[in-house]
Amino acid sequence: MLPDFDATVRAIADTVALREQRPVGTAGQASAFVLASFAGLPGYLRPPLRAATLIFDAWPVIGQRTYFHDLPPEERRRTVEAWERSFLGPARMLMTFYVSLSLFGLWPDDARHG
Amino acid sequence: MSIAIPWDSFDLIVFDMDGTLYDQPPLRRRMAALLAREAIRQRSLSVMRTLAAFRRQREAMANAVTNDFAVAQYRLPGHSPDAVRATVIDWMEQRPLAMLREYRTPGAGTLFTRLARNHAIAIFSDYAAQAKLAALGLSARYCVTAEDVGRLKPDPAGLLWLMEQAKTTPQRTLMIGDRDERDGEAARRAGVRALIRGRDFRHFDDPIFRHAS
Ligand SMILES: [Mg+2]
Repeated sequence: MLPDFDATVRAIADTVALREQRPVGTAGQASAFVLASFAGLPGYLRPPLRAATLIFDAWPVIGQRTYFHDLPPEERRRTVEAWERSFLGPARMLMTFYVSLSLFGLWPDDARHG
Repeated sequence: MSIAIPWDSFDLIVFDMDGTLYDQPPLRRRMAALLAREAIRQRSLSVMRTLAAFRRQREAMANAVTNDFAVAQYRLPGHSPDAVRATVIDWMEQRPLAMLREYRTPGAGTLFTRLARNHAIAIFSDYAAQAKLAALGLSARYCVTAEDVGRLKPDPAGLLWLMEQAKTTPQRTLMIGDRDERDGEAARRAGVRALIRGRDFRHFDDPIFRHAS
């Protein structure tokens, strides 16, 4: 197994959806939105973000011998929250980026036909 | 799709704003990226959470009649209504304006020009619409929003008000929107025919608009 970008994004969106009290959208909608938003980012931002995301996915391998996207929900949440509070700016920024996009993706979507 | 619209039989053409006169998904993605940048800068998701809670509240209110709608929509647990209102106006009304023109629905400009010759054009929107209309480079004779009538779609109050202003009847009115459960349902309750984007047409260059004038 290798780090997997799409699976990581889906796992983060799932984690955010589970953590939210009353999401209106589904985790699937949130992850589709995050992936679409990522694809729409300026070209120079995507490679470093993708690399950082793969590092995030591989991070739990050190302690738990498993990629983030393969962790059970509770462990995923712990990992996301540890990175949200990280003293390392880039780690914190990466998680804020994904969590905020996931939250946006959980909004009611009145744009289905747009 | 071959729906023939008897354009001559209408006096009043009512357009929904969001998702009808401009494409929402690409604008939403750009706004999401701006909000993510803001969250990183502020080290806080509070703006995003406030907006999400506001949107949830609005969706819930669409299914219930509230008398003090204009005030109630900003009343969220744990927030000051003034702060919620300021955040909503900033992020949902002001900031998108600059990007709006880029996402105008193809054919909207020509259609508005042609329709304006023989019809009254109106906007019926749940959100503030005047500034968006100007940003889109379009103009309408009438504009009514949820705040004006104190009701969200699918309540037809705004549509009824527009017909009264235009001194016309449901038979001579056409509603054009993008959500059947909101725009379509408001039209049904008012006895007005509706065209729904995504179901009846994709954009305003579609053949059903060819004879509109
Ligand atoms: Mg709409």
